[in-house]
Amino acid sequence: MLERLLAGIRETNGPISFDDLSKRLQVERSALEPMLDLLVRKGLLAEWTSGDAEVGCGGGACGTSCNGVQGCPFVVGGMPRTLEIRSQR
Amino acid sequence: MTGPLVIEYGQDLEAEIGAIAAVIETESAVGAGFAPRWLALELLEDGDDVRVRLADLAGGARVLTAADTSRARLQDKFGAIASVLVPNGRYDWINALVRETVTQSRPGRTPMSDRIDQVVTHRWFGLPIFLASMWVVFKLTVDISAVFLNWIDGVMGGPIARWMGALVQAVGLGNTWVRSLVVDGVVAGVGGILVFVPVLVALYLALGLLEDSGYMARAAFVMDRIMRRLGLQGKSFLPMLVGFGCTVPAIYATRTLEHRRDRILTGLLVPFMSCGARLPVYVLMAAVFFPRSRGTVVFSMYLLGIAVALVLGFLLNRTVFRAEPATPLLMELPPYRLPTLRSVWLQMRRRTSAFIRDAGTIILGTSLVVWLLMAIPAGQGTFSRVEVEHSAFGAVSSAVAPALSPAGFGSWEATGALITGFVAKEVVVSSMSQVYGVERTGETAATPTFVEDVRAIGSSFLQASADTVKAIPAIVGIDLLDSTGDAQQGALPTAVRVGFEESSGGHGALAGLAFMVFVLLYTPCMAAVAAERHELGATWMWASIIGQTALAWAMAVLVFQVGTLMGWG
Repeated sequence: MLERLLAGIRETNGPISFDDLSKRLQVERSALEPMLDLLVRKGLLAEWTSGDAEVGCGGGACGTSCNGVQGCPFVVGGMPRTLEIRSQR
Repeated sequence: MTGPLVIEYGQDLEAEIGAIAAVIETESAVGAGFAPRWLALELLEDGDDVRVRLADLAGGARVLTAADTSRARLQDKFGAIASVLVPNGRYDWINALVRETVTQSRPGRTPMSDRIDQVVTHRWFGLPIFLASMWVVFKLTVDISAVFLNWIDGVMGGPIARWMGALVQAVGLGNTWVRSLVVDGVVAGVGGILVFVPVLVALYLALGLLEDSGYMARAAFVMDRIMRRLGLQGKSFLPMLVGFGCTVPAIYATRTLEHRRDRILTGLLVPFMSCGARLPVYVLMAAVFFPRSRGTVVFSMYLLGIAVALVLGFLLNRTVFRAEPATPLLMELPPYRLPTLRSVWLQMRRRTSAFIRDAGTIILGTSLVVWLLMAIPAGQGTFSRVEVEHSAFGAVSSAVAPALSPAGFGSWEATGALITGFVAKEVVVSSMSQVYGVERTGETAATPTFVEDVRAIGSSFLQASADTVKAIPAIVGIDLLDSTGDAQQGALPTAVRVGFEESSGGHGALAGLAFMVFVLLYTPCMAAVAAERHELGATWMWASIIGQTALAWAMAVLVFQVGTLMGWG
């Protein structure tokens, strides 16, 4: 099942939502998420959220356009929870 | 009565379970406390607690060695997936059980959120919808706010400048350099950038609505497709998105990327994402030269930045970096919801107040430095009593200006503004305000009284509010203001227009467009340069500075020269 899940992500040509993957694999969304969590814990999926942008916002800002992570319209609230297959390079 | 539940894990895993269980059975101290099969499964799953407890038991080390040997064999055969073979077997078993025992009722009606997503995140429709949304955002931002922008410009350049001048006069410093410092330095510089507060309020309002509705998550989903065209690894897309807000945190955010090659490539492309600091420059130039299509012109600058990053990313990926194909992303899309007024208001207020607060630091500081350079004579004149063209600022700007003549904006005023733009992009506008403002000194007519000023501010505010409401239908082409654009322009836009017409030989609009392209593509700011040095190293920092400036010059010249040849502008 977990192998199918990873293959399901790999086979998509572009981003895929949790809901679409759930439909594609015919697995309930509520069953899908623990599997994804396990794959993240085991290091097979990398997870990133707006927290990653805080790394940037902690690094400084230019003139007046950066209001920190709380003021960034592209990060706060806008960034969905995102997973990707961890690179094996 | 049924026996214990036994899940079949497949031939390879069962062989290793058997091998470990056999060792466990030979070690009485271990076998007495645990069921051998359960313990073997725990060890294959890397159960840390169990490993700690085994280490203290007689024979435990032998069992652990056997488990490690089995895990190594599985790793060799299955690779990274070996670490989840045990849970994979369990999930397969559960899945098979569910299929056998659960009867799915007929699927109900697809939720509204899903139906919207089928269109909004569609492979082909998603991008046009995203671009259309952004076009509306910029159209709203630029067109609706223009009336208030002119109002604040009038208040700053008129009553505020006069009151500050009178205040300095009242404390007995009216005939000293202090008056010039306050009026031409602080008011012209900081005031010049504060007039863009309505633009940012409108932008934050529009983005707040999109954000609160849940659309921004979809925008990220759609944008990922574009970023993947760059050949960037999936996570690169976060810094690129942040770059639309500010380049500096976007460059720092590249450190979350795993490989240095990806960090450098992303760090080099991030500056082409048009940051918020460039917006006032676009708005000013678009209002001056393209008053009837300013929203579209501003929007096109953002698109051009993406296009340049796409082409450069494509080229660098196939030459210098040779990155591997990006892996697909899996995103959790929140359900759509109606934006709440309170949430949008709070976001708008927080972002706008940060802009105003910061205008009092870096913009004020740079404005004072620019004023000082404009006050220092380079040859003739005395301190603060010198024509700007003959000041240190004018001398440096005049020396560099010829290099920009092929782009149509080779005047010392425009060049000086671009040089100060290396500090921060908003400074381009505040410097222009200072340079052109200084030149206007002494051109004012009869001075109104304080009461007349206050009355004029109040009545012009009411007029601006009414005109803002009238400006809304203009988004769909209904011009209730019946404005020509030119008639509404203040002193700075008029001075900029005259200056660009002169430097371009009558092709002011083309020169203005080339100027915007230059601002889009050259080094964003000193803070971004420092971030590049910190994150990418000195070599790549210089490559970025030189490359961006050269590209900005080439593109600006291309726009102006081709436009002139084709008879545009």
